[in-house]
Amino acid sequence: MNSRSNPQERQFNPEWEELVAGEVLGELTESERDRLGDFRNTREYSELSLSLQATLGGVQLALEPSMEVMPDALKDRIVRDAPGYLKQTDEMSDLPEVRLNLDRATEVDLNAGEGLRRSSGTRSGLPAIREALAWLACAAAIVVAVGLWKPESKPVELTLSQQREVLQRSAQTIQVPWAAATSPFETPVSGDVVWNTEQQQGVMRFVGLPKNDPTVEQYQLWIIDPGRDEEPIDGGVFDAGDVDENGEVFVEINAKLNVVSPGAFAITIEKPGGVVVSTQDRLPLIAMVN
Amino acid sequence: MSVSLLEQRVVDETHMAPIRELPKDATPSILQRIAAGDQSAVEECLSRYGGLVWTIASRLSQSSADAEDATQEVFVELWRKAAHFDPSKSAEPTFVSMVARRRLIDRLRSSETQRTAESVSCEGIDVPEEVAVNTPEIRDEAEKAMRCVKKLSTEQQKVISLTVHSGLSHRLVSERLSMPLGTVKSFARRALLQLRECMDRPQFPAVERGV
Repeated sequence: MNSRSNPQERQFNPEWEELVAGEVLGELTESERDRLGDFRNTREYSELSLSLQATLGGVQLALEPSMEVMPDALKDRIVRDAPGYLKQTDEMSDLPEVRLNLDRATEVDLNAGEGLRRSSGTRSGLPAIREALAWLACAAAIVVAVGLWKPESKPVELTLSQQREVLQRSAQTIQVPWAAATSPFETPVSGDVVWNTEQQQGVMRFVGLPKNDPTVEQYQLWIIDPGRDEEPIDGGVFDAGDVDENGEVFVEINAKLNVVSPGAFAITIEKPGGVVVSTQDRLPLIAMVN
Repeated sequence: MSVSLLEQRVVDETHMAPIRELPKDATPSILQRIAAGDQSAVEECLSRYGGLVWTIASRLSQSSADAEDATQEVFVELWRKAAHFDPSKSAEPTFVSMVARRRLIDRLRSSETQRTAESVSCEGIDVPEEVAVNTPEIRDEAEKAMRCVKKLSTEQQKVISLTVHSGLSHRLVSERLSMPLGTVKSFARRALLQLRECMDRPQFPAVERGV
């Protein structure tokens, strides 16, 4: 378990160990996270992180000064409710791509290659929307290029609709409906965003989303996250793909950075490949959290 | 003799599996049974770990009702993550504690603004003399961790105690101990790494005898 004891493994940058320790303690700054870089995509990182979390768990056991007895009523309630969750556990165990990661720190960014795109400018409209879009005003570009290492992962088999359903079973998942924003579509578009911050996964659902010509324009998702900072997170560029039998289109959210506490999800229409700085001239949809 | 060599020697000489690895014919643990859908294991899990989770939840919650909600959340998390339990990676009590800690700290940090360093009771600063848990399976793990905690410097012990036991952020630990934030951060990280190294060492009786 101690990675350093294996001479076959690569030499650790000593700083990485302390940074991962900080991450496990929940006290890593964004610049420190950046310093971990591609190390976060390695097996060594995952093992170190898991090992440190287990260490914390053990220390937690040791430091309990006394042990109380759980109230019987609470115990009964938990036992009574358990069967429903055990069933979910069975189902989720069969779905490797949406299984919960025990270790949040071992969760890796799902997307590689594209630079972070952020928007600028202001729009008129509802104050709440305007406030949300204010976050889009700060432009910056950070490249997050990560490779994805998924230990013992199996091929993705679930449809996005099924992934969405599994996410919905989590108490931590939020679901917010789309609403018309500053430049709505001619025909109303409905649907919602299902997002789980713990798993850093989400799926968008659209009904009536106009087909786009990817050679001309593409949709781009922005995640406004005041819990993180004032700058929005690029949620990925996408097309209005084929609708299913219910007339719905599902799109996976590809957040380029860790989402802390999303305040809104906004869709813009951009040139093919998306943009780093959006003019927000075409902002048809927004989903406000709370 | 280095730890790794000692560990290898013990394994070689006894032909035993590495520490914590269960024999293939071992009885499944409670969490492994839960992962397999065995509902009878639920009550066993609550009997063994209910007190532990309730104790931590009570301490890290702002009200009794909040503690009950938090405890329920932790067990739901356990049901859902039982399949992730790997006895070769951690002991079951440690896994339970780890899941509980993560869930409860998340809840706690979300209401961090309501906490102050002074609002945390004094008992959070000092490491207890000995472990309090009396369930044999939990006690073994707790005592092993305690031996390692005791090897930390006094200042590191305080930082770890406030961080782990009281769930304080580094900022609040800094205020509580009147210690620069950077020092708290450094102490906590290095202490955790030291603890990991210490707790990874084999705990065979032969080691205790200094073989």
